[in-house]
Amino acid sequence: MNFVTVPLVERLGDRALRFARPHAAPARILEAVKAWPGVIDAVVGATDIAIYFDAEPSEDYEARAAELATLPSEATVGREHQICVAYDGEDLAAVAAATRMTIDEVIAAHAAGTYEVASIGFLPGFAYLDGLDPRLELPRRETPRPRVPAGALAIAGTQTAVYPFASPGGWHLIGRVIDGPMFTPEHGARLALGDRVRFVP
Amino acid sequence: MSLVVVRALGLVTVQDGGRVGHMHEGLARGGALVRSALVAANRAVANEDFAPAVEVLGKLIVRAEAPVELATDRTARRVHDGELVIESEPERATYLAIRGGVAAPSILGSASAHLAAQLGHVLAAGARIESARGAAHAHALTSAPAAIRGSAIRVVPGPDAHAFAPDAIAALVSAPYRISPQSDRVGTRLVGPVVARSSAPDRSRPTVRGAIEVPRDGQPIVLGPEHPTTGGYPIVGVICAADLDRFFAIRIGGDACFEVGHVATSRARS
Repeated sequence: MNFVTVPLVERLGDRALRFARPHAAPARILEAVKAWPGVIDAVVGATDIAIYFDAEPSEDYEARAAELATLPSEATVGREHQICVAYDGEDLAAVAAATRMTIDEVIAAHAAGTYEVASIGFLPGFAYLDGLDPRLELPRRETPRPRVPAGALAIAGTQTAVYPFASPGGWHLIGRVIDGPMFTPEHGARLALGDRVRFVP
Repeated sequence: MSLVVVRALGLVTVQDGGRVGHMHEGLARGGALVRSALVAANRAVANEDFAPAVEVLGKLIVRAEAPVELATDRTARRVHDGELVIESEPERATYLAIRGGVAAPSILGSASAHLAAQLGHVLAAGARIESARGAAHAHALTSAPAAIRGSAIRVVPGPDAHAFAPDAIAALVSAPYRISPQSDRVGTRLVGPVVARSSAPDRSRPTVRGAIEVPRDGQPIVLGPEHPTTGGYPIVGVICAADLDRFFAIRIGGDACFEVGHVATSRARS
């Protein structure tokens, strides 16, 4: 038997709805939900999707949300990025110690990865990248830093990311991007959902 | 025709209606904290409703160098020369509009400063405020709808009920919350009855302007125009869109009372 699970669509106030993220490529989800009637924007989070309206939503969108599960899980036409980095982050030695690797092994493991943008949030242009070598998985720092510099390359949990702007942050800093900003006034975010990324030392 | 900033206290920036359609890349809409007050100031000088104006969260002293038609959301006047003091008190924000709109570069479709994304900047002493000489609006000089003052701010409960104790909403509506001085355009911090959390872990989920997030200490934070698009604190409720301006207009140190808003009712009113 085939069941189509109907996701529970919840109200996020009276101008937004939220529901669980189905197992489909994030870029396909974003494209699909932005085409729904009345939707002016959407956020594809790690586990949830929110859709936004400029008036009270006119329907409950449950049937549409259920259909998202039928979208393919393979990424579509995400762009490929090579981002030049210097692996000289403040936490590099601590990461090496915590993972029982040498600093060179940490760098090699991180630079060997091909990452995919799984979600975007927190800060403008902050892309959560899947594909981290499992040997590098660490919980967030006990105490977040009050200020992480713009361009910092960091890891936490199963993901890696670049801080587009200076901000407080609890991820482990392993390096920095040296070939340009992650968010510009002209073009917005450098990385989009579904894009693939390699870091080049 | 221009104004020169003599002194700016608090946070003074150029704001308009904000940037729609960039939430998916981590950029919230931004724009005026109190949208109806921006509209009122613009209408008083025959501008389009969401023309760029100067948002004053604190106090601004400007000097006119030539005759200029300007207005706040409270008064309209023509100034020939001399200094002018604009204070947000007794509310949290006030808006200085000049005829034609305030000139500011449009970035991603808006002139609004969005400091978290380093778009635009804070207006400080010496900054010039020039007219963009934008088109006059056909429906000039009609006043913006007046906010209903004094009554409670309506909240749509949820969606993270599982992350709270069963009496969380009851606590939220039980007594007034004070608006903390630690508030900014990202979040408005509240001091009042503790909204108790359950043991559910924090989980990063999409947010919205007006969402009432609750950190572990139980003191709520209401997300403002420059909010992060995802956040780890659970959301006990979201302020009804129709009441957002009334909430954000409450001055620092003032009190906000909440009540449960019925979605069906707000639909009927809209």
